[in-house]
Amino acid sequence: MKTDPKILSSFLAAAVWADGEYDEFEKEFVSDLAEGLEVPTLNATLEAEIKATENMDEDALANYLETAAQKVAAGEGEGILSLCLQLMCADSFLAQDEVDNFFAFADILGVDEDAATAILDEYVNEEEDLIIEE
Amino acid sequence: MALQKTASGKVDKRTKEYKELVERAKKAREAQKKAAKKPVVKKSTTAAKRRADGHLDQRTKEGKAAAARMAKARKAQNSLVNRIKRLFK
Repeated sequence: MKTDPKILSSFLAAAVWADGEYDEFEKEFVSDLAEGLEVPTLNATLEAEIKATENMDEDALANYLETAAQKVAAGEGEGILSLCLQLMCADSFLAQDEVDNFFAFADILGVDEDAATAILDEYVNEEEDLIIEE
Repeated sequence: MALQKTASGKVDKRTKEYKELVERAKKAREAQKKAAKKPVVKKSTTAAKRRADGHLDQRTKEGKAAAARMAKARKAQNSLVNRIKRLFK
């Protein structure tokens, strides 16, 4: 991955804010992600981003992500979107606000709606344990 | 994703709920675009478990067990690493 981990963490922090809780399963996912990406500082970077965005309102958070998106390496938008989705679903629950944010992230990252929908469809299809909000 | 059917021919509840979730999100996005508004990134300042919106039981009971199974499967199948390789080749 060529994108700076801080930029990735900005999106992951926004993913955490969809349900307002950075729970044990999300932390475990980030730990696995850090290992997979070979970025041992990822959890610390993410926690710093969660802190940095804590007092932002929704507009400010969207602006913050738009600025971050400009620094995403070419061709890595879909990958970052997919990682955000996996983090949002690490607690096994896919809620309406999380789906709304998923498409907002896609828009900000310049991923078109059909490609975003395909990422979401594939993930939901693969993760049979995922609980869908009623 | 097409709606999946159960063995008895009924539409699978899980895929039905998923389709509805995606449809609502797309309608909201269309409304935002029509109003020429920027993307809205929702932010909850109240942890999900403490919300009084009816999702508490799913998240705290079924959710814990399901999340543990997902994490276990992720490690056993090396699925995250495989996804990372596919996403960032």
